[in-house]
Amino acid sequence: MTEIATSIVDTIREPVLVLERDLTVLHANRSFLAHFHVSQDETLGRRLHDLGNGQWDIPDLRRLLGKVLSENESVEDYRVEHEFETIGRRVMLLNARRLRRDPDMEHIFLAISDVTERERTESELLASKEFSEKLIDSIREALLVLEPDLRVESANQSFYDMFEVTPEETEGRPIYDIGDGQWDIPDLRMGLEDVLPKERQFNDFEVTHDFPTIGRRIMLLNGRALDHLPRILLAIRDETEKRRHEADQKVMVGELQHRVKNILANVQSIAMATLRRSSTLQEFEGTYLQRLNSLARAQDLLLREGSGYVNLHELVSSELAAHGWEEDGRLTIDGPNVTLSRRETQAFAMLVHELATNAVKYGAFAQPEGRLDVTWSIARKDGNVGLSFEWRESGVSFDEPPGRNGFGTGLIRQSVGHMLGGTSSLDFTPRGAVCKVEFALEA
Amino acid sequence: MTTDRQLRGLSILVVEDEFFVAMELEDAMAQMGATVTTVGTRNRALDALASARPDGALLDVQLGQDVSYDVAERLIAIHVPFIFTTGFDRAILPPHLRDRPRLSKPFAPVDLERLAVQIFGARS
Repeated sequence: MTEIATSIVDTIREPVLVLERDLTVLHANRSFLAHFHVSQDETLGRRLHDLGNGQWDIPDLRRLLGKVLSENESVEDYRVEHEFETIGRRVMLLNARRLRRDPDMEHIFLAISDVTERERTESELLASKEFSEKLIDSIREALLVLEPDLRVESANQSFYDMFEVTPEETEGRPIYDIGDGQWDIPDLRMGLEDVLPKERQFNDFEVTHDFPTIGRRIMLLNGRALDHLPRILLAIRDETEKRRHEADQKVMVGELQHRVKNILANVQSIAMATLRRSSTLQEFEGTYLQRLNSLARAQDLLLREGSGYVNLHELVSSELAAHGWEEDGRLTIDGPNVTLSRRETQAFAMLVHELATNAVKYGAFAQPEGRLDVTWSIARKDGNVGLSFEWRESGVSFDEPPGRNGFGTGLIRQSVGHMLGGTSSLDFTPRGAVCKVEFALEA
Repeated sequence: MTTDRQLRGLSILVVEDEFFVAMELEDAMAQMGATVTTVGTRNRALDALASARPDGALLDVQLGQDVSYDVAERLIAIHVPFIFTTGFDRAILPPHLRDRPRLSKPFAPVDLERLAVQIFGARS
């Protein structure tokens, strides 16, 4: 090779080999030696496929230099992928040219372009493009990609779903125009036009707006001006449901607190009322705990029914069961299906408890011939549903009339009227106690 | 200090839907010498005020499904001093009723007596 040719080859940045026809290396430029970490001594005068422990013995390369080049003067951008011992996997684009001065003097000029990094970068770019596209489309928040002039370049599926618009009426249009100008919101203008150019971002920008199609929405907006691309990302989170839920939650907690306090007030008052009317501590203990248990049973029933309504039959039978009475030959509970509200349940549980307590003390449950019939009926009156409830004991003989003015008796006579606005009566007939209750069920 | 009979000669309206709580308030007022009328619903409270003007009232806020704000307004209109008895926080009351005397439930009997003397007693 001439000196000038050698100089040219040496100044080229790409690795270049000049080969004899039998693929003996005639010259390797500096770039080749540096790139593949080899010295001139272990390269020159050796056959290509023997170089570096045979690491250049590459089938694709042999094919290029053999068959392909024998049929063509030159080959360009012949892609070869190979795992090198020293420098790992490489992707190369090869340019080869036959140089023939006369039939006996043939050289092969082989330029090797290592495109490993380039291909990796390209594939990384593709991957990051795919990543951002899929990311944008998979997030639940609505996302807009805006151009610097605030035209919508694209929007994700969540945006279309949330605001009930189509890509056709969105993409390529200024954000303030889309959906009949429904995005022309002063606060949003401020964020996009005042804050973003200066701060490059804004976070949790709260915007409340009445949309013609989807109504009033509370939204949190995050904006980002990209640094390496003239684009703006606008993420929109619809907070409406969450805020509503939080408000509901607050009401519910308030309601619950009120109930708890009410129950505590009740427990205190039951204690005070029972205490005033007990002649001994022992009497107080028995009566008080029974009343508390009855209150707890009513709460259990209310809790068990998630609806907050309790079946009257269930209420009566559970209260009587607590006093040791099941429905058998001596007890009947009969009436149409009636559900009681929380308040009605509490009032009724108290009433039945006091009636049952009396029956255990000196009524139907205390005497061998005693029996009890609990019945009720409902009737529509003045737009209300009225409940008529009767507790009728029989087979009871009184040695002496029971305490007609006791606390329990007073409760039976007054509590329903007091709490539910109805009437109740308690009479001691010669056969046993009869209690009649009437009130209008809550709508 | 004893509060016995300090409400002697006064008529007190107790508006409280919980039966036991109503009884306790009624007992406490009676023990202090007052004549007590007890009702459990908003309608009966308004009826009671229509037929007689009491010297004072204990007024629960939540009465069944109703609230007692219009009963409170009626009491203000006819210049009857009253005490709210409620488990609710003060903040739940409408602004114009927020500064009224209030007894938080559950209450200590001694607090009820002190407040009753303070609000009703001065009138006798």
